[in-house]
Amino acid sequence: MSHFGQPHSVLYRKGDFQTCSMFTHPHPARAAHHVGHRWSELMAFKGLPTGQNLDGLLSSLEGLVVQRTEDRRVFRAIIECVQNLERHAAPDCPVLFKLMGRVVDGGPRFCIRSLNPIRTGDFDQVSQWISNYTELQHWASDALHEGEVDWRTLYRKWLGQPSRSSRGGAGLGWVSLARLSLRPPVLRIIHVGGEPNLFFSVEVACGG
Amino acid sequence: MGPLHIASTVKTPEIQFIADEARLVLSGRSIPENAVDFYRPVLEWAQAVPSDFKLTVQVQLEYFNTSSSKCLLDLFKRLEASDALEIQWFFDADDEDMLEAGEDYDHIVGVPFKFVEVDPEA
Repeated sequence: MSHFGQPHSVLYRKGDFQTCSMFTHPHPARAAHHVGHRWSELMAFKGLPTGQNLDGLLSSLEGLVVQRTEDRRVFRAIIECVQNLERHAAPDCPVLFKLMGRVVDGGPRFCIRSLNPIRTGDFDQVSQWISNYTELQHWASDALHEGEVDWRTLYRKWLGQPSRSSRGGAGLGWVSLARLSLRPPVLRIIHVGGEPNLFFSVEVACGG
Repeated sequence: MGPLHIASTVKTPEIQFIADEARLVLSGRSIPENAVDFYRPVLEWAQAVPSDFKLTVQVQLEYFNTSSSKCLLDLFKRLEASDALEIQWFFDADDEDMLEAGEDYDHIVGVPFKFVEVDPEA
């Protein structure tokens, strides 16, 4: 049985929260049919980025994705993504979070995506992050072995630095996510209804 | 150096100093949004560990977020001055990310690390 061939009650449960909705594919049998090489939406969340909502989301996602020890990798990526929403998203606007899955060479792959309005006053800071992150990729690409970005060396370097973000983050989130992912995460500003939103996407493989 | 026991929650680990065995054990998961507040009493406790105290730190974490990662490093660095410190880093077989995380600390901290592979089925 493939990783995604688990009972529908686990893969496609619905949940209701006070200020958000969390849903999965409305036709589990059809979704199960498509689980394979093509991406299938496993869970979607839209709601305010409150601690209660995001804790509920994390709890649901853990039950959904962690079925073997190797799967902890994707949950580690999910933790960082979800906690970034709690730390950095505008608190009074809904955020979107989506988890998709497919099987490649017998192993599960997951794509984590989020879209959140940027906090008032944070636009310059977020723009600077993206600029730093892009620069980091170029810098890392130059410093490497065999053309691969050495995110581990960067992670060690940053871990050893004493600075922290003003909201309790370690400033290691992007590097940590890049290290867990198949390819560098996508991070960009998208304007929705004239308002700046941060789009984030990362793809994680969890062994065969 | 006083007693230390912090009970676990769904997002924070149990941290316990077992005095008669000279062991500091961290177990569970460490994913609080702001780990600084959570780890403050642990770091204060570590500050009071005498440099000649033979201490074993056992890290048995399933998950830790990046906010916690720096706090763990702070803890190891505070204890680094101890002449007789050993850090035992537990990881489940097949959890190569957790093994690599321990290797990262081993690379940064000047303290001997012992890696202990655990069979999660056992």
